[in-house]
Amino acid sequence: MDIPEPERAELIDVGRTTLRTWGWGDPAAPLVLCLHGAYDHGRMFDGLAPRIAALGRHVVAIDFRGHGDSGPLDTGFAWTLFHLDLASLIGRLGRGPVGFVAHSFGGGQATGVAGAFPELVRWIVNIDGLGPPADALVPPDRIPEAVRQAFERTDRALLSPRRPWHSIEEMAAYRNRNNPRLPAAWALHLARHGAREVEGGWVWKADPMFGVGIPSEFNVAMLEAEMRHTRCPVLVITGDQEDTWRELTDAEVEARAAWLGARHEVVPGTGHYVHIEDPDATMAHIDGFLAEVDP
Amino acid sequence: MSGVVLLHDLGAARAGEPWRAAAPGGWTIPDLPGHGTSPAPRHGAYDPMGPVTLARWALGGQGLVVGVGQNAHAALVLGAGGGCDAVAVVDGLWGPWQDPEDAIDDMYAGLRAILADESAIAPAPPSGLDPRAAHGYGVYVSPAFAQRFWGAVSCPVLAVETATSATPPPERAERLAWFGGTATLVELESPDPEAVIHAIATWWQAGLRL
Repeated sequence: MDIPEPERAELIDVGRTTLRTWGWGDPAAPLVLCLHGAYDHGRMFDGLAPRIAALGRHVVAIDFRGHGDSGPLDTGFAWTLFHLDLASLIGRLGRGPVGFVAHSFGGGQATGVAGAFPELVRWIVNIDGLGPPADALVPPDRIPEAVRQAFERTDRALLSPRRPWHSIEEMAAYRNRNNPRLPAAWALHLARHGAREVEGGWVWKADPMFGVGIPSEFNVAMLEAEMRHTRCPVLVITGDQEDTWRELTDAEVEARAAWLGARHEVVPGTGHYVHIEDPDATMAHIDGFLAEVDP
Repeated sequence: MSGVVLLHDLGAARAGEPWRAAAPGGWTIPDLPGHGTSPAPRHGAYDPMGPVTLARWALGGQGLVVGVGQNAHAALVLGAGGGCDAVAVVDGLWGPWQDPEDAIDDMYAGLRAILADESAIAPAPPSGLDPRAAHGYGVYVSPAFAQRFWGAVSCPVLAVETATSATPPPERAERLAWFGGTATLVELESPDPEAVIHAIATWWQAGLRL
């Protein structure tokens, strides 16, 4: 499988950090930002982005802070920090309001930016990014144990050297075990661009601090309030297959799409990585949506 | 008796200095990152995990952690995780409760305020108060969550409420009852660090009973 390279790569200073961006298409065209999921990076859009650019858009995929080549994190307690990074990036690029094509965690970020800064967002394509299931949004049963585990994870992230992997191929195999629906070529692509060479092998670029956190308040009522702030057109695209990170019930998906005021399209035969598993169907939905809301 | 660490409030203009001036010898009262002589965190933003880790490492599992204002939550996290023998919070019982819609509105208003403040987006100064810290943590807590979380704090807790507290006075006793262990309330007219430190030191030295 031939996965094309981005046309441009930049590191953009957004004041308090630097964000890696990958670009396609005419920089004078309307801007579309592609937002990846947790522990991923912008190169996951190498297949989809050029096809969106071909619709007459300037497409920029980012590495979120703590991911890929972007700046580090000091904590995983950083949900709204990413909103600010995105708003600052749009300001630096000087091209708002933008469209978002956002996967998983990136979908939540797109929702947050659209709620906090509605003037910056023209529309959102949310690919299986409707948040965790309700039972994952309640405090743990044993809070002291959860807090102690957070302390241990913090210490490991801050103090322990990271275990190097022997090869990119080994990392790709690990990725495929965790995301078995990912085509092998894509698992290798994501591992290749998600890894950094160190003495003795390779480590994931994703900052281990991203996974550190303490039990905190974010519940379904807040998620609903957040989603109901969205005023721009939203297209939600989900798969219909069991998969890692596809944890919502059908009723939860429908409720959350309704909170967003979104149109919901299902791509049959796909799991969490809809745009990688069936890029043609994904593009057909995006093309149709843009023809309607942003011709 | 083991050590004491005091975490001053986020955005405190004079950082730990007023507390150091009032505290007995042996208390550890740092300028937290982005305040006084301590540089800002490398990612240039603020959350309670930094102070929690600092206090945890300083105490090594034993002693008293004091959290002032927004850092009361950091102190209570340490207490919930068994990282100390006792917790004192100063004006740290949260303000009036909000419903989720208002909490999200506030969160978004806070983000807009940060983005509108060029000094809070520009690189942090090498020392002195980082303007970003003045925007607060933006942490939201519901009564249900506070009840669950505070119930997990089984060590003794002293809540010092001063004239600057945002907690409605009629609600303080009820909130105190949510803690999992012994909890004591002291209400002071003045937020003066000397008076606050005196109340905490008295409680701590008296074996956690006033």
